[in-house]
Amino acid sequence: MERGKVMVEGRNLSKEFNGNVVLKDVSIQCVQGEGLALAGENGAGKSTLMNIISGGLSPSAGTILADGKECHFSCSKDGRKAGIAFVHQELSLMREMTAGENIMLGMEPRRGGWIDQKKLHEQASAVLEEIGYDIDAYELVRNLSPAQRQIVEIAKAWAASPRVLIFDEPTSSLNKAESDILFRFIGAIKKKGVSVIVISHRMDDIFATCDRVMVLKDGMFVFESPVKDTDSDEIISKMVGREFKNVYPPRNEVLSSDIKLELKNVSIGDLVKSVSLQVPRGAVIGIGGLEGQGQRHLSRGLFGIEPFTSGEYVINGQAKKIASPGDAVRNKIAFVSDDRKAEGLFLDLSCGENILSLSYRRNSRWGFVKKKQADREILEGIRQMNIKLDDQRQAVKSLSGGNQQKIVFSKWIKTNPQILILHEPTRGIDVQSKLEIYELIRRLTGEGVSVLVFTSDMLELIGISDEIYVMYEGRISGRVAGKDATEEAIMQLSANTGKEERP
Amino acid sequence: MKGSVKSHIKQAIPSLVIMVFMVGAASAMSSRFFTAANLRNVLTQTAVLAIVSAAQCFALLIGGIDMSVSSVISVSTIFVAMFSHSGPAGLAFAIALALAVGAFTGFVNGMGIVRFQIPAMIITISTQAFLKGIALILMPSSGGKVNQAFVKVIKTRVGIFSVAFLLAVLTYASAWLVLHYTRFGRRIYAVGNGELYAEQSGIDTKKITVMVYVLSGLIAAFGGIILSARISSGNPLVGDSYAMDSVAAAVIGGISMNGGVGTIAGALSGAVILTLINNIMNSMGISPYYQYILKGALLMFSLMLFQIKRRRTV
Repeated sequence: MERGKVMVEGRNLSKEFNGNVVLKDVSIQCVQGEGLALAGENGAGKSTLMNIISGGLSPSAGTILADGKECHFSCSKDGRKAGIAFVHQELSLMREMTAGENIMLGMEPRRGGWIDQKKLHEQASAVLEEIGYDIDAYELVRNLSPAQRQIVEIAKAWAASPRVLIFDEPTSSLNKAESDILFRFIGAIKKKGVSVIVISHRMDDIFATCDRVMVLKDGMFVFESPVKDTDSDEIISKMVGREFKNVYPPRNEVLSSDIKLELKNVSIGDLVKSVSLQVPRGAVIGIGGLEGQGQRHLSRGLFGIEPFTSGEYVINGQAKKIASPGDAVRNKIAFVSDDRKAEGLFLDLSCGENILSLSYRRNSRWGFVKKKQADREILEGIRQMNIKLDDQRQAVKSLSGGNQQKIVFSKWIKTNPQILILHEPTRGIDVQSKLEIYELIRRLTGEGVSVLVFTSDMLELIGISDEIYVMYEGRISGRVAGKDATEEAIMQLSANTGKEERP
Repeated sequence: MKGSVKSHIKQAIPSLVIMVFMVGAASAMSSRFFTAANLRNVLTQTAVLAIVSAAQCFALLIGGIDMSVSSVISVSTIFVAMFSHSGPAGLAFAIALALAVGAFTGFVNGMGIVRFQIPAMIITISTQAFLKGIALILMPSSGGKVNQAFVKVIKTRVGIFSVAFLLAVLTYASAWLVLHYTRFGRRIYAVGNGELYAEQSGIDTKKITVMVYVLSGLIAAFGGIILSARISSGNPLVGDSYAMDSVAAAVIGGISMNGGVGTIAGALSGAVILTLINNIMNSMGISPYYQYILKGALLMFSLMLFQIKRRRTV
């Protein structure tokens, strides 16, 4: 098939955040009537690249050309004007407005200056019909199911008549039949000459909708091929297969038979479905999978932030009710959140106050803090964690990410936890701090602490875990021993390609 | 009624029910209540609060709040009392000045919020204090003269209505059209529903925010101008109660404090309810102190109702 004209093109795009390179010298072409699949692991730079193309981010280096002319997008509005629409994975609909009002937002038809509500909803219905879904345009978004919202989101992007339409994991909330309708729609708009880009982990999506596939890894371009000349095994092997650096402390050879924590068929609504797992004493259990498969909810369920709606939560053989973080702390559970700034630290308080924030009871008498003892404990914490700071009285927000994270760990260790729940424990921190945190984790397990690590970093997952559970759509899709785990095996489980039984 | 308007109107239903119930109860208790004279009196008393509540609605709908309305009202009455007695030109000048100060106050509020990320409550309390100081310097105590022809026009009766109340109705009709039938109105609801989402949809949320506070200042100044005719003087403290009362009227009328939910019509019934509390309790000879208790209780009840509903739908 003859290739169409290049509508939008990115040349040698790079992007760094605070010296952290997330995209390096990647070029991409959006071709008329062509479907391009963008594949890669979590953090490979796919979303960054798409945000640059659609104007949500500006590149640190490189150029964007629309119809061969160089252009500078300073916000998503500029990208929209150039005919590029981005269907985000995280939905951006207005709950209290109707589906139609959302779809036509910013393009409302008017009669004599006033919005014509009837025409607005007719036009929105027409767009929905074009996509092939039967959704009442007059329904409020808050009454729609996640799948219906996803379709409304797509309709909203399509209503702007874009020339380039980008989908980020478009089928993540759709079932098989719904996905098929979407695939047909994508086929139809490609025939109309629209350039489609699909970011997806799902091989089904890629083969059903795309003509070309491009793979990114660690922010770099690694592979591009016509879809008909490749297969899912090749794509997955290009996505993974990094050099494995042995930075991880040795793992446990034999897991203890003493089960510290056990979940029996726990669920949180539709977000976590009937998850069972066992955490032996002194073991590190890793939870992996693609982003947004329920890991966040499971981790928060474990700490009582979003209590489980059913199932059993067993600690040391006894069923417990963990309905709030307070319950969790009383049961000697500690939680390191993935959102350090919002949930892990009191950013404006001093380092010392943060370290001591959970152990004031021990360090005070009749409500007054015992200054000397408190200072001693703070210094001990700083030394123990090797936290680099000028003065323990400085605000925690003035520290680097790595040192901030060590303060979070120090705060929890002072509560003598028996179970440690870590969510993205090394996100956004330097390599040295990473290594120190890995060593700390192993030191704690040596003392009998049980650790659950939720991480989207594949190497970390394999490197640190004694045993790995993979989540897919809220369920556990597989379980692998840490020493046998390979990136391919985990990726197959994560993408749920149904090949886990293969030898 | 098309689109989300329907669901916004539902928000106002409890307040309409309360209002009807109060009118019924008051009529049953006192034969003097349901008379043309008293009804006109209630509606006229409602007018200024209703107008200010409309201003407050705009701020609440984008998820903000405007506490500066009280000082804008006071300072507007002072301008009219200072300049209008010289004749129509003076009156026109006073009105223009009041509206300009209202708009500028709103502009400062808006810029403080979008540029410096100051919480709406804090910046609007600051401008409220600043403007109150100016009002007290210009006119330390109630005084001045308001153009008598202007007073006459505002107090003119039209059936059981007065011109003051009709102007409030006009304000509501315009606000209704703007909120539900213009793109600007859609954007206000969009920003109130989720600022980040609105931004991702290509809406200039900063511009909308500033425009909303300017509009709120303008409407509050308009309310102040009408109030000056009702009290026939300028007064540096006369606006004070309107900041809280306008929030109360809007919330009782079903406008969410979290933004994006509710309709302006609710604020009108909220304003009537608050005025009825005064009117009924005054006619029963109950101390005004109890009126605060009843107002506070009603406000708490409305807020709780909101939170219960929210929890159910999330």
